[in-house]
Amino acid sequence: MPNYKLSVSQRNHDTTGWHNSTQFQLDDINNIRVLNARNDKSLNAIPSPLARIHLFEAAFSLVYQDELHGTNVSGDAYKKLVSDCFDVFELLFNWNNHIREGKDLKIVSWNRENETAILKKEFIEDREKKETELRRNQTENQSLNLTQIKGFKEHLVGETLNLFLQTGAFSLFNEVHIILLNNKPIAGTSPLTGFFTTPNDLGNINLINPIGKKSYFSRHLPFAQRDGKVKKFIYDFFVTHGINIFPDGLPIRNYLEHHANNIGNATLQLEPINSTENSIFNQIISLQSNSERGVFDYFENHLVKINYRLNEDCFYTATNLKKDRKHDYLLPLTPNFFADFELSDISSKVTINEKDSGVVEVSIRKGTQTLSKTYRAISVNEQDGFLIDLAGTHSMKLDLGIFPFLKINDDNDFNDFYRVMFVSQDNNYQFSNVDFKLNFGKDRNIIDPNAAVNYTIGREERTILEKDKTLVGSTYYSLNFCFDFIQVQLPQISETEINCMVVPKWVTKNLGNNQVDFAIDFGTTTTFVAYTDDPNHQTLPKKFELGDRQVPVALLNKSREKKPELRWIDCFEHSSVLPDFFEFFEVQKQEFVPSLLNADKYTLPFRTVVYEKNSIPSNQKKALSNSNIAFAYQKDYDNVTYLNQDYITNLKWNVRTDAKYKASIEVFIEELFHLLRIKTLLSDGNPRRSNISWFSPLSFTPGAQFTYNQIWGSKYSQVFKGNAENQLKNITESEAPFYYYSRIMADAGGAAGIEDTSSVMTLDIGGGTTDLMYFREATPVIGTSVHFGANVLWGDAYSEFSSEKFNGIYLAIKNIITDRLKSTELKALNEKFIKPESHFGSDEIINFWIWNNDKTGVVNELNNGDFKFSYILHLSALIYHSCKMLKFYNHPAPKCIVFTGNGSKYLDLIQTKDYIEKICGFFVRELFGKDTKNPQVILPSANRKEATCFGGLYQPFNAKRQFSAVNYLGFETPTDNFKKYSEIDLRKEQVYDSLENSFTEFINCFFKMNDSNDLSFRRNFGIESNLTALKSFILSKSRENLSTGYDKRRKLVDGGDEITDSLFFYPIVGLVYQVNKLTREQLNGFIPRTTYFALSPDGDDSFDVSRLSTDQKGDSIFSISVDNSNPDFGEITLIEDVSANKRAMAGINSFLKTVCEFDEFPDDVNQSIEVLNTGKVEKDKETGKWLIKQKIKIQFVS
Amino acid sequence: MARLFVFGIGGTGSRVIKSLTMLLASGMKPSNFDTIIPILIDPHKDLKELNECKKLIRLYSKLNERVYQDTTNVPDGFFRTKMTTLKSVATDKTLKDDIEFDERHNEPFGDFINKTGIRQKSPSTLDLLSLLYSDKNFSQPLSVGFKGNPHMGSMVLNSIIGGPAYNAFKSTFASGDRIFIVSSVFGGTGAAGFPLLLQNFRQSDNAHIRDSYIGALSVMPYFKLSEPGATSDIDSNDFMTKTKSALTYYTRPDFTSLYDSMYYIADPDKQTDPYTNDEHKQNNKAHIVELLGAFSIFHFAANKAQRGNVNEYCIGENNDKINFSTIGNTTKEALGHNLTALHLLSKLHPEVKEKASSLTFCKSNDFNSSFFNDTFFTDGENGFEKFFENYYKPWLAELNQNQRGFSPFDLTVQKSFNSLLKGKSNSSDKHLLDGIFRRPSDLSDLLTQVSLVATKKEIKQLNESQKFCQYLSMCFQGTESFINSKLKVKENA
Repeated sequence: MPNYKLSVSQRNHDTTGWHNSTQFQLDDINNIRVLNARNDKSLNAIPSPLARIHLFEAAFSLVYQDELHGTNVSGDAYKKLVSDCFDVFELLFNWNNHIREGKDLKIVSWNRENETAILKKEFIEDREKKETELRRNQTENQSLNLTQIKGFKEHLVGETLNLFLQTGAFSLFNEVHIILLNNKPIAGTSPLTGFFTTPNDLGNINLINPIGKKSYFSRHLPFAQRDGKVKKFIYDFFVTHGINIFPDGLPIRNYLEHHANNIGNATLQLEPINSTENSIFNQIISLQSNSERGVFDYFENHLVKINYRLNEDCFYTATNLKKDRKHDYLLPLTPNFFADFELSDISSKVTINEKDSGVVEVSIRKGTQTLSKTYRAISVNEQDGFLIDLAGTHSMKLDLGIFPFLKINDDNDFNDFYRVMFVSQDNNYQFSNVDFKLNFGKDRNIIDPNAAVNYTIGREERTILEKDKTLVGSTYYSLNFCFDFIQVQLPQISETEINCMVVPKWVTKNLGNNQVDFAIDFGTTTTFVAYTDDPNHQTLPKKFELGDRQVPVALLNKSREKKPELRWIDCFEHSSVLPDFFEFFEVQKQEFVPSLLNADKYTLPFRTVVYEKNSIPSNQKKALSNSNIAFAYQKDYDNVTYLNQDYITNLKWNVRTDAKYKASIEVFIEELFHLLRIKTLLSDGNPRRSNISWFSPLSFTPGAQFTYNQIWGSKYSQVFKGNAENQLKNITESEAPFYYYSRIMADAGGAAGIEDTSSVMTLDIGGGTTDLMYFREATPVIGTSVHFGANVLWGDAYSEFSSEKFNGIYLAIKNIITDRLKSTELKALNEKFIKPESHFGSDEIINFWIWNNDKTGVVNELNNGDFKFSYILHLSALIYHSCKMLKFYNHPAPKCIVFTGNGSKYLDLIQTKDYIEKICGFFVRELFGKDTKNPQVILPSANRKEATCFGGLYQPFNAKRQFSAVNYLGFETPTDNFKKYSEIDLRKEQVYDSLENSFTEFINCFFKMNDSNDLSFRRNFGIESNLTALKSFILSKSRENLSTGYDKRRKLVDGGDEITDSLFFYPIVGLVYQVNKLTREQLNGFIPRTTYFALSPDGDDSFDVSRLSTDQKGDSIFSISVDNSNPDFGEITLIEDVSANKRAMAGINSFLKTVCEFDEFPDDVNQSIEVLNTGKVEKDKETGKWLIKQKIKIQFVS
Repeated sequence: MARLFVFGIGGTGSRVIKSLTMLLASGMKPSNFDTIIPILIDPHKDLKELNECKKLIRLYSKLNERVYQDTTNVPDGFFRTKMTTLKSVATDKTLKDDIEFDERHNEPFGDFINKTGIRQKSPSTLDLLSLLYSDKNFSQPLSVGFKGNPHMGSMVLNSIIGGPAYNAFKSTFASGDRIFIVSSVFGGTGAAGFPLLLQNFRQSDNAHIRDSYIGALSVMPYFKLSEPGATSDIDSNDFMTKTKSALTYYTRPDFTSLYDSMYYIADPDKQTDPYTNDEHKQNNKAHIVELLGAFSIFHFAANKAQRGNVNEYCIGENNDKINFSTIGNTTKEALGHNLTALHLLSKLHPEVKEKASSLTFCKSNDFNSSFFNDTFFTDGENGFEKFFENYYKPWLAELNQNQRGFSPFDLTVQKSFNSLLKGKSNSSDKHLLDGIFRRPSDLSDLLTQVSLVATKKEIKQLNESQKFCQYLSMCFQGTESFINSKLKVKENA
C-alpha cells in the first residue's frame, strides 16, 4: 500500500486524509524511534507542572518495552531516569547508615490542601476586597483582572498544582513527601513510580552509596545489575507494601514483573527509617531501611594520626602492619562498629595499612568480607576519608588518662567511680578545651548524658587553654559507670565532624574474698596509710603503695620500656616518653593521679594537701575533677597548671573553720579511699569486708571530731560500701604507737621495742599538736593533747597571718637554702614559696625544705647550735609538763618514753638518742626524785608515721577506748581546777599569776639543766648564747606571751567549751619564735646589771663606794653600770637630764675635767653636754674604790 | 450561528492558523460555523511568525468585513467565513489585544511565580517546585518563551486563566460554540498550553465551556533544527524523545477523557535540510503539515464523535513533493477545489484589473479603475492585493520549497493552465488536465467563465454598496465554474 501516515508511527494507514484512528498504545509509543537525547534536562516535554513525575513513568514504560523486546530504542536519558529512581530506593535502603554517618537527610511532607491554601490566602483576601469595591462602584459586569490581585503569583502556583494534582493517580493522595539532602530537595514521592528525582544535576552530591561506593545518581545502573537485597527491597516496596497504590499495568509494575524471576530471595534485615516523616502514600507505606551495617557505618570519615605510640597494654588498638613507627592512629570507628563487633575484635579484625605517604587504608574483617576505607591527606576521593595529621599539620596534641583502670566483672557496685583526664594542646590557639569533647559508650551505644537515667557523666574544664596564659587545656570527665569506649570529638578543623575512638582494655577482676584492712594517719603535714591482709592482725602491716603491677591509671600513650637504670616511674612520666607533649605529664602529676605510688617517687607519707581549681563553691568540689590530692606538691614545680589553681594546706585543723576546708578534706579522703579500694580489689579483697582505722588527736574539739566522724563514715560507705558502724574505727593518735613498739623487738629502721611496759609514755609530736598517752601495765590510762607541735619551731607563733615569714630560723637560713636550690629543679618552686606575698608560712616552707633535704641540706643548717636552744626548750617543756601531769595524777615516773609523729624529727637535730634520754632523765628526776632512772627513749625510725598506722593495725580492732582524756593546765591542784574557758575568764589574773609561777619554775629547772656536766648547753649542744640574758629575756616575756596565746585561743573557742589545751605552753610558743629572732645586742639588754649613782668623784679620779647610792638622787650627775656576772668592771656615763646637766656644767672646772674628756671648752654655761663615748671604771681590789680607767668622751653643744 | 474558537498556541499554533486563514480565504467553510475566532497564545511576543499571523488575521478580518458586511444571502465565496477577534465579541472592551490572549512577561520564571513569596509562605512548596523545575528553569526569562519546556508553560499559561481575555472568552462562549486547540507536542508553549487549557475548560464555571465539544490538533515533529550551538537550548534531537513523553501523557485515560476529538500529525523523516536553529526568529517556511493541520479544523467542524476520538492523516504516497493527486483522496476533494480557486484568483484578479476597461463584464458592472484603486484592493497593509503579494504567494512558494514539499501547482505557469495542477491521475498516466480538456486551456478560458457568471442574477442583485462582494462572488463563481468544467479535482468525478 502506497499510503503513508503523517505520523510518528506507521500504523494502520489504509485510509487517506483525516480519518478516525485509534489511540496510541504503549507499544506504538515505544516503537517511535528517537535519536539519543543528550541529557534529560530537555525531557520536560509533558505539559504539566508534574512533567518530571510523568517523565519517570514514561521512562519506565519505554525501558520496560526495550527490555521486553530486547530492543534499545528508549534512549540513554530514559534509562538514566529509571536508574535514578532505583537510586532513590538504594538511598532509602541505606538511609539509616547515612543518618548514622551524620548526613543531613530529611523527609518532609508537602500537604496539598494545607500548602495551597496557604499560598492562596493573600490572594483570596485581596480579591474579596476588590470585588466588594467593584460592587460598591456598581461595575459588576466588569470582571476583575485577577493578575492585578495581591498574591496572584503564589495563588497561581497553588492553583496550578491543585489543578494537576487533583487529576488521575495524584488525586488519591493529599501529600507529596520530599527527600532533602542538606536541606536541598533531591527526590519526591510519586504514585506512578514510587519516587522521582529533581531535574537539577545530582551527579555530584556528596553522598556515596555504600553498596557501589559511587555517588548516588552519578551513573546509569540497570535494575538487573543491582545488589540482590536492593532488588528485593524495591520489589517488596511496590508489590508487597504498595500493591494498592501501584496498580497492575503501571509501567513500574510491568517493569518489576518482568524482572520478578531475577529478584532472588535475599533476606532483608530492615528497621524503620530514621526520620520524623516515615510513612508515605496516605500512611500506607512505612519506609524502612537496611539495619545491617556496612563500611560507612563502621568507619569515620577521618583518620587521626597522633605523634606517639598507643598504649597497647591498656587500650585496644588496630593491627598496624608497620611495626617500627613512632606514631599511631586513633581508631576511625563509629559507634556502630561496637554494635556488631566485640571490643576484643579490634586487634584481630581491624588492620591499619600505611601505604604511600599520606595514604592509609583501614580494613575490618567481617566474616568472610573485608570492609576497607582509604584515608588520604590530600586529594580525597568521594569514597575516601581524610587523613588528619594532628600534630604535624594542625599543631594539635591530645592524650588522656583513666582512673581507676579496673573493672570488676561480678560486682558492678565497684564500677561506680571513673575519672578521665583529657589533655589537649593547640599550638595555634584556635581551639580551647570546649572544642574537644569526649563521648562515652556503654553496651554498644553512646551514652547521652542528658537522657541517661542511671549513668551520669560530668565534665569539668580545669586548666583552660588560653593564648599567652596556658600551654594545655585539661578537662575531666567523671562517670559513675564503667564505659566500653570513648569517642573523641575533635575541633572543627575539617568540614565535617572529626571523631575517633579510644577503647580501654580494662584490667578486670572478680571480687575476691580477702579482707584487707587499713589504718590511716591523716596528719597536719603528711598522711600515711598502712594495710594488712592478715585478718588477725598478727603479721607486720605494710605501707600502702600501688606498684608496677597495680598501676592505678592508664595513659593512652605507650610507656617507656623498663631498663635497669630506670626507675619504674621514669617509664611513665619522663618527658622522653612524650617528647612533643611532655606537658601532659605535668598535668597528670598536678591534677590527676600518678602512674605509680611507690618508693620511686610518690611514696608515703605524702603531704596532706589538696590541689584545686580556684573559686569552686564548696559544694561543688569533686575529687579528680576539679580538685585532687596534691601528690606532686613540693616535689615538682608546677609550671603548667598553676593558673587559677591553689594548694590547700593545713587541712586537718581547719575542718571547722571554713566550709571550703571541709570540702577539700572530703576530696582528699574520697580520693584516698579510691586508691585504697583499688589496692583491696587488686589484692583479691572485698572492700565491703575492709576495716579502716583512722586517727585523731585528743586535741580535736568535739565539733571537729564530730565532723571527721561524718566525713570518714560517709566516704567509707560510699567507696567501700561496708558497714561504717562496725568497720570504721577511730583511734587516738598517741595510743597507736604503743601497740607497735610493744609488739616488735626492733623495726626495720632500727627503733627498739619497749623494754618495760609497766609505765610508758608516748609523745606523738605532730606539726600542730603533741598528743600524750600514758600506759600503765600496757594499758592506756590517761591521754592528753597540747597545741605544741613542731611547727612552733618553724612557724610564726602568734602572728595573725599564717603566711607571714618572720620566723628567726627561717630568716637565718633562707638565703643559704635559696642559693643552694638555684641549681636544682626546685629553684622556681622555692622562689614561689619565699616570695613575701606567697601564702605559704615559714613552717610550710621549712617543711618543704626538710621534705627535700637531699637538695636543700636544710637539716644540716637546722643543726646550728644557736637554733638548738629552741629545740631543747621545746622538748624540755613537753617532758616537764608531761611528767608534772603524771605526778598530778599519781602515776609513777615513765620507764619508757616513745616519741612518734612527723614533728619529732627535730629531736634528731638536738643530739643523739643518749642525750634525749639524759634530758628526759633530768626532768624525771627533778619531778620524781633523784633516784629515778633515765627512762628508755624510743625515737621513731625514718618513717615515723608507720608506728602510728602499724600500731593502729596491731591494736585489736574491736578494742574499746579505756583511757581517760585529761587536760592538765600545768598549775592546778586537785581541789582547784578549771573545766571551761569561761571559768578561766572569771579569774584570769589569778590564773595568769599561777601560770607564771609554774612557768618560772620550769624555766629555773630548765636552766638548771645547764649546770649539770653532761647537759651543759655550750659543751654538749654548742649553744653559745648568753644564757643568763636568755633566761632573763624569757622570764620577762612570759606574761605577754601567755596573754597573747590565750587570747588567740579564745577567739577559736567558746566560753562554754571545755578546755582542751594546756595553758602551760602559751608563754613558750611565742618565746621560741622570739628567741630565734634576737640579735646579740638585743639579748645583751637582758643581762642583769647593778647601777650606782654618784654626785662627783673623790678628787683622785675615783669614786668611793660609800658615796655611791643605788637610787638616783636629786643631785646625782654620774651613773655607773655593773654587769652582775662581772662585778669588778663598770661603765660610767653622765645622767641625761636637765638638772644633772646644769650641775655638771657648774662643775666643769672642779671635777668634770677629771672624769670627762673634751676638745673644746664650752662657749657659755647654757650649753648642753653630749656623751660621745661612755667611760670605764674598775674596782680597786684593795680600797674598793671605783677607779676611772677611761674617761667619758663628751662635747658641748648649743 | 455557532462560532468556532480556535486557540493557536505557540509557534505551531500561529503557523497552522496562518494556513487556516489561507483556506478560509479560498472559500472553504467550517461546516455550520459562520465565525472563526482565533486566539493566539504565545509568551514569545517578538516572534515574527506570531506577528505575521496577527497581521494576516487582521487583513482577512477587514476584507471579510468589507465584502460581507451586510450580506447574508451570499452563502459561499472567497473570504466568506467570518474571522473575528475575541475583543470584537467581548463585553469588556478594555482588552489590550484583539487576537492575543495573554500578556507579555519578561521576568525570569522564578520571579514570575514569585519564589521569594512562596519561600515565605510555604517553604515546602518551594521544595516541591525544586523537584519539578530545574534551577535553570527558574532563572530562564519568559520573554523568549519556554524553550521547549512545556512544564514551565503549564504554570505560566495558567496565569491567563482569570486574566481579562479569559474572562472575555468565558463570558461570550455560548451554546453550540466549539473549541479547537492547536499546539505542538515537541516545543514548549504549545505543548504546555494545550492540556492546561483543556483541563481548565473542563473545570470551567461556564457550563457551555465545560460541556462544549472540544477538538485539538497536536502537531508532532515535522522539521529539524540545525545542531544547537552555544546559544541555543533547543535540540531537535530531543523532539522525538519529548514526543514520546507527551504521547505517553496524552494517552492516559484521565487525559483522553478530556477532549472530544484529537488530531495527530507528524512528519518526522522527510526533512534533510534542517531549519536554522534560532529560537528568536523561528523564521521557517510554511509546511504541508501546517496546512493539513489547518484542514483538520474543517474536519472537526464537520464531525461529531465520542470523547477521546483520535484522528490521523494519511497521504497517498510518501513523496518528497506532495500534490493533489498524492495528498489523499478526501483532501483532494475538499481542499483541492478551493485552493485551486484561490490560486486561480491570484492570477485572475491582476488580469481583470489590467483589462477592466476592455472587459465587458467590468464595464457593465462599473468595475472601473476607481473601483480597482479603492483601498480595499490597494491598502498597503490590509488591501486585497497585499493578501496575495505578501501572504498567499510567499506561503505557497514556501510550501513548495519546504521538505517535505507541497506543490499542487506549477508555479512557473503564467497563463497557460494545461500544466497548472501537478500530479497524476490515478486512472491514467496523463496529466490531471489531460483527458478533460480537449484543447489547451489558459487564463482567457477563465475570463470567459467569469464573464459568464457575471451575468447571473444573484451577482447582478448585489447593489452598489456591495460592489466588492459582487466582484468577489463573480470571481468565485467564475473560478468554480472553470474548475468544475475544466479541471478534475474530484477523484471520482
